[in-house]
Amino acid sequence: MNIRFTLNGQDVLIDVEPERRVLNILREDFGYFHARGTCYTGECGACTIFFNGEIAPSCLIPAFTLRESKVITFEWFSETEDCQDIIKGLADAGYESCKYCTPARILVIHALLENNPRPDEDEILRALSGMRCYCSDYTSLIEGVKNAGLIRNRRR
Amino acid sequence: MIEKSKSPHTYSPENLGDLLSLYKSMPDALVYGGGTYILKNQKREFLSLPENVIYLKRVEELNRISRTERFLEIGSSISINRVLSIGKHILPAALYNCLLGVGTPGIRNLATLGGNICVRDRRMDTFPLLHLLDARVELRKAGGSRWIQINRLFDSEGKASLQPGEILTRIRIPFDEWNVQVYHKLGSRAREGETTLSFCGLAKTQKGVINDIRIAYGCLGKQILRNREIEAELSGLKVPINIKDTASAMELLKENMDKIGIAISNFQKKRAVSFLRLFLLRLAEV
Ligand SMILES: Cc1cc2nc3c(=O)[nH]c(=O)nc-3n(C[C@H](O)[C@H](O)[C@H](O)COP(=O)(O)OP(=O)(O)OC[C@H]3O[C@@H](n4cnc5c(N)ncnc54)[C@H](O)[C@@H]3O)c2cc1C
Repeated sequence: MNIRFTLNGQDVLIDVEPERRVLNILREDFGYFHARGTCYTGECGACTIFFNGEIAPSCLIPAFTLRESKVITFEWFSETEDCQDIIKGLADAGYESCKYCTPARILVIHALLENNPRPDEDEILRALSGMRCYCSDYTSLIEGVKNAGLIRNRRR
Repeated sequence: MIEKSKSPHTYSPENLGDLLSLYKSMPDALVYGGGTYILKNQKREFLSLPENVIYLKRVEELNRISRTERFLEIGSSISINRVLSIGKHILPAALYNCLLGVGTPGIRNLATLGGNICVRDRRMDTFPLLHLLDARVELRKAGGSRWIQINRLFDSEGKASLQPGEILTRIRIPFDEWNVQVYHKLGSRAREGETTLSFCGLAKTQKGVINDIRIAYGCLGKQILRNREIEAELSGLKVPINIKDTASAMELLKENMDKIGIAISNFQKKRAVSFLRLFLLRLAEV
């Protein structure tokens, strides 16, 4: 099946099986390895990407739904100032993670801050509830997200 | 090596007319909303899908939201997060809380409200609450449409009343003056079993008297538990409800849970009774 869609700002045309997971397409056909395949059931959040502007688990997106869609992966997002704000905000709070889940976590934080520049603790925890990696220290994570929001608001 | 099955034919109609004629020509096709239930337990690299799959999300008519003074109407392909974005002050409070508890933010971006209602082998989170809210759903097939009460969508055994070629297109939720609204969920849908339970409670009180009260439980497989006998007993009572009437309602619930043919664990029974008690206490707070 031929599918045209936008991947990290570029128009692409691929020939794939319609039932293939976008997670596997990104990793195997495009070499975008920051979306991790862990649970394959949409529960862990490690394969998160932006799908039509919203975060979604790429393991639960079959190729046939890609047509004319817009996909953004962490590889592209990591080049943006928005991403640098988040990295700095987290680092300032002394947040350390296992690195495995960090790309997805950063995308989730970005989605939160876009809708809600000053989230409170509950909102942060709720937004991150889809991340099932228990590597994190939640106190510094919450602090880091708040920092990131402030840094971003100042810059913008 | 695991062999890959044949690829499905997938269709993405862009308007309702095309969708209905397509579904009429292949009534065995799988109707695909957000796919989050359909794909839930598939762990293999290639997803297993039937021969024909009809993707609903591009159908323009199914992606509309409208509002009148009396009701809110939501297209069946609207994602759960888009429903939430209608806002806390417009959506019934209990529905807002219920939707916030569906899956994770990423899942809610894919999952549709129509899909949540139409899951065949169990009633998902919105179902018991939409039932209490008197929601109606529009079902359409080529050459016909009908509106039914949401509880008519499945019979008492949980069998869907959707006819071949029929799609759920819109959900209509009346605005009503429920001044007490409660939604609680225990446990996670991802591991649904003996320790999951949801509680929905709605009540209208006026001058310290209960005018209308509705209670339902979910996460009980294909059934929801609603007991109109308890509701009738509680209607007309003064708030705060006295200890005797509270105890009698709780007793009635226990008896009812033992009688009905739904498998309920002891844990669920105990929690069901606690939820009822908390709800009755809440009534006194308004
Ligand atoms: C990690 C995870 C967590 C989850 N947590 C929850 C939870 O907490 N609560 C909960 O309720 N659910 C949960 N779910 C299940 C699922 O995400 C939701 O029930 C969701 O709303 C289903 O919607 P969908 O659009 O993805 O449905 P789909 O998977 O596309 O479809 C579900 C069923 O409905 C049928 N269908 C879909 N749309 C229509 C229509 N318009 N007309 C007729 N038939 C239709 C399909 O054919 C299929 O049989 C979870 C799923 C995952 C993967």
